[in-house]
Amino acid sequence: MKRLLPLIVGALSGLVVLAAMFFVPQGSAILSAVLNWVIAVASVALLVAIASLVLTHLRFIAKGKKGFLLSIVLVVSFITTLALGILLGVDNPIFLRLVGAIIRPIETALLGLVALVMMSAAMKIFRERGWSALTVSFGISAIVFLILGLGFLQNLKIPVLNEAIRFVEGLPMIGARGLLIGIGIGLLMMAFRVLFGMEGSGND
Amino acid sequence: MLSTLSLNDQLALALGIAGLLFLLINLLLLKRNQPKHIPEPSKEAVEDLLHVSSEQGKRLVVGLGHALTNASFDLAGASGLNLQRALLKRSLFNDHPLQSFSGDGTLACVSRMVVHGAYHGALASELFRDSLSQLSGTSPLAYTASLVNQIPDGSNAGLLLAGQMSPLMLLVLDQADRQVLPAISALSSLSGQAAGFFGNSLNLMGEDVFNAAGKLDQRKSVPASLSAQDWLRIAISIGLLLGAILKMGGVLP
Repeated sequence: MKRLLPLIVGALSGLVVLAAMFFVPQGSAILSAVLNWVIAVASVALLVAIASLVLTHLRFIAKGKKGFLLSIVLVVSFITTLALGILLGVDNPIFLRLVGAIIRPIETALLGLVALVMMSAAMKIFRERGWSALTVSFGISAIVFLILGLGFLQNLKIPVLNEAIRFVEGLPMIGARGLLIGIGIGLLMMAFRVLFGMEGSGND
Repeated sequence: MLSTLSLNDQLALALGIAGLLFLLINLLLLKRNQPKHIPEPSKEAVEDLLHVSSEQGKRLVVGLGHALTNASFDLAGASGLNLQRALLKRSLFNDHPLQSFSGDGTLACVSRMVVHGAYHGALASELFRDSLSQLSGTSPLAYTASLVNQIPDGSNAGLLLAGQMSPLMLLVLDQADRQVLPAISALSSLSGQAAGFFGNSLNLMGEDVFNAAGKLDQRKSVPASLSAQDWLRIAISIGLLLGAILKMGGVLP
């Protein structure tokens, strides 16, 4: 019973939400209520997870675990941000500028790094996987789409060429749809397993 | 009431009902005769990685992604939890049990429940440590940066990435490559799968990402849903062919 009741409640709630998504005018009230619950629960979960993270790092500091200096940085930054957020308010322009001045350069640097790593990985793929049909077609399609992305060919305004370019540009969508159908099938099965309690929290 | 639904919704409903029926049929069939599990070379890799980590006395690291659901409220982000559960159950009593990192509050809490449940189920609750499942960032960038820093640890034997991740995870795969750490990516996002193709890792694609644990997860529902997936795939293929023929014949608008 201890396991059955939450299972029944969960399955029923899931089915009601599912039905509400299909019958939009009638079920929109249910959907908006559920969305509000989701936001509230997710916010609380985030608070719990952050509290747990800080506690874990405090333990690392107390034990002097390897890399505890980074834990000190984390805890100090967290407490500083929290204190400033409470004192100044989260909409305060000074607070936003302060946080943005730290986060934005780091994010930009990381994104720049991703571009470099992606380029290097695209080069390495031939070395590591050899010259196969897959790598060659990847290389050709990368070059073709780079050229198409320049827009030079489109500017020639040749109707037949534009038609051919439109056709080529649609090709990635075919592959993407195939993958999306696969992901959809996998998701559907997992959703059923969750909905009908076939997925436990680990102690099954 | 069904007539008020659009054609897309009617199709989705039909596919959902068909999927449910296929799953139920497979679950019932499984009771009578032990199902054949279809092992694929890619899925053996996770098991091999687990064996290597046990032999070396090192830990496996699982990145569970930076979101439990996306804007359409699907469960794609939860796909890594199956993998976490299956691997954790086999490394509970290792010197270094499975270590997981989440990039979302809800995911971190659910993941913690999985870890606790696994120890509770093995009657070893006293061995549970909350550090085995950690929140490591609340945005995709923070999560990636944090995960990149976890890779160089000498006690790591392998890396598994599962769940929702952006192409940023290429940084994580690159770091694993530099540390000569075997990596497997089973990402449920399309852009993540595309980025995984670049990385020097085993990259699962399509519906395979939802069964990355392969033979390690032998609960009855798993092989049943695998068979149901195959049936559904065949049904969709036939449907697509029929749709194309009807469209060419001018029957469909």
